[in-house]
Amino acid sequence: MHHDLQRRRWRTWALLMLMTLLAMASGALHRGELPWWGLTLVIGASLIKAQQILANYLDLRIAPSAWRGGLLIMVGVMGLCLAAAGLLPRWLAMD
Amino acid sequence: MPNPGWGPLSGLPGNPLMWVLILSELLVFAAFFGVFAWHRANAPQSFLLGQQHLAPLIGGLNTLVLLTSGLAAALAVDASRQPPSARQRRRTRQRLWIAMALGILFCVIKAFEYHLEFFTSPIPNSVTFFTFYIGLTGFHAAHVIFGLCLLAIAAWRPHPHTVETVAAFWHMVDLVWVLLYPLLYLVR
Repeated sequence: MHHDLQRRRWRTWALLMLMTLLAMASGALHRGELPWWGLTLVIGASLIKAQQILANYLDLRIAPSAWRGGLLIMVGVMGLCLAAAGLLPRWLAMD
Repeated sequence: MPNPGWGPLSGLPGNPLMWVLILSELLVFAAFFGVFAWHRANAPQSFLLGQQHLAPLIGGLNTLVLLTSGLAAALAVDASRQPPSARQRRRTRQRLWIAMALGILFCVIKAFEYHLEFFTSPIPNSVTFFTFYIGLTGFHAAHVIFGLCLLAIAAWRPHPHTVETVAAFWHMVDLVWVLLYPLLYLVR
């Protein structure tokens, strides 16, 4: 049980590192405006990382489902703001 | 049930009052994120100029450091839940010290980054972006420093409930940075 939990923590850490490195590479490749795929990658990686921290660092996977859902919604709202920061200027420029 | 008698908060790990703080802090950051997105939509070129002045690799390095610190805090929670013994207390403390050392490294890298950005090259004319940048990263850094104080208290008295409570706050600091880093540095 203890070892399973530790393995889960290390697996989560490895995934978080990978997602961060991918986002960093995307940012380093483009100094100007990010292309659509880069923007999608950065936002997707950030949301996956946030979900992993909630579930496997904060241990919310064993909390009541209402809390899990509530916190995921809160992080989702922050993710929506992140997406809006990237997408709104593009949409406004298209009009 | 980790906290019987606390109503809806009773199912959460650590002290329920810490969760009141965590939830309120998340709401504050979410509001700032929304205002940032709104301002960026109104002045995208000015924000882009400011963002290009930042160093995404240094910000990313800090993300790696903080997430590794979060791992050490999570492993400290696991160690603190083991049957009480001198070895168990020592392991818990070691992991908390590692989490603290990495938290301090985060602050040192951030200070170095501020130095690079504001004292070694001309700052672009993007007042609104830099107001957000300093405000948000400074507010987050204040949380890191508060979290370091809490980690020191937990290392001093590594009771499982204390370690869980402090680790919950530390993970909130992680969580906010994971979303703040792309918002300021990468989403362009």
